[in-house]
Amino acid sequence: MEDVQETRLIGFAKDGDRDAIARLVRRYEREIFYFIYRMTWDVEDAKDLTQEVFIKVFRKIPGFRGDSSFRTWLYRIATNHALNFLSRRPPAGSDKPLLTLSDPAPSAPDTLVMEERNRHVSRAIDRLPRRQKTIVILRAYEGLSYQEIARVLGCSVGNCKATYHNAVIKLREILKHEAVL
Amino acid sequence: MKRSCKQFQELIISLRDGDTLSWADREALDRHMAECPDCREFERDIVQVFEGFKEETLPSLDEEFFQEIREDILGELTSKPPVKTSRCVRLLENVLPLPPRWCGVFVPILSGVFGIFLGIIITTTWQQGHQDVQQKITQMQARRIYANASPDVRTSSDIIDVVEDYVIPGDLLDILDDQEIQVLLGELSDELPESVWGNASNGTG
Repeated sequence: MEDVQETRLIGFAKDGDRDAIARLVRRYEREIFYFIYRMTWDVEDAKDLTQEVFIKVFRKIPGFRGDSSFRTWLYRIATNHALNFLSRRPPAGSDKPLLTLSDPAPSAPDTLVMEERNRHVSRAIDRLPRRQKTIVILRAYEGLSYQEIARVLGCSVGNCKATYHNAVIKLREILKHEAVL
Repeated sequence: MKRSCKQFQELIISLRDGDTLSWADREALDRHMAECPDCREFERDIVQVFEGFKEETLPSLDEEFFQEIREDILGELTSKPPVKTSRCVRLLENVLPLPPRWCGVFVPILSGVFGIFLGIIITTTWQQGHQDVQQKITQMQARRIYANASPDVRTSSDIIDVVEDYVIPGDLLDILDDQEIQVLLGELSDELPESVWGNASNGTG
């Protein structure tokens, strides 16, 4: 549920208030950046796309009627933008490194095992069909409800749920095939 | 009714996804899991997949990185301010159950239709007015011609000659043909006192 402060910020942003726009960007920039990063697996692409998404959002904000929450609307625009980008980009090889910035500090052995599994899972998600991949990211990482995902993707809740379940089964198959499981 | 492994696997995913199963479903799943090694293996794998979601490692980015993004966004928005929706479009957005994009299209379309409609009304009114004015002018001129005509030429055919003689060429004659002048004179005969018209008719010699 959108809080009162956010509703006021959106109202000011509609009138072009720079401060309100800055505060809304600050509120969602990380979330949207990491969502796009998970879709593209490239920090620079994610950075550019995040900028473009927010510019698009604030150019379109006078038409935002609040039928869905601002966050859902933001994800809808970000998802479409990222999918458009992916459809133009040539498919990357499966051995593409998942982290393009400097990796985090050295970890303990247990953590290394978990990180390794995480990399395999992330790589498997990247190999899913685009729609399944999007739904898995929105559900498993972004924590959107099925109702929100349905609004973002413009499909039914039942369809989203079925696609998510199929994606999880497909992930298991990929990870089994790679002998990770 | 006996359920298939696929149906139980759906329940396993739902459970891992955070759904709450009904007591009957939970009971059936537990019974099935106790006797089905394939579904037990499926559950173990699914747990691993869901754990993989939780343990994600993302690049750690500092505040400076995001500040740069923010500044670029604000810089771009300031250089080209957002296109403000007109009051008409906003009003339509509130009234019509349509997406904003459609309202943005509706306003120009409605304006265009209204403009064409207004144009038709103005043109029709102007033409009607113009015809009325023309008719009045010709009637007045005909009266003047008739008044100026000498009694001996006050016949229909003579009047036409008078029209040709007295009225400035390019004025009445450009407007009316002979037949129209006859019609006009017929109307004139209704308006004038019968005695005058009668005199005029009988004035020829």
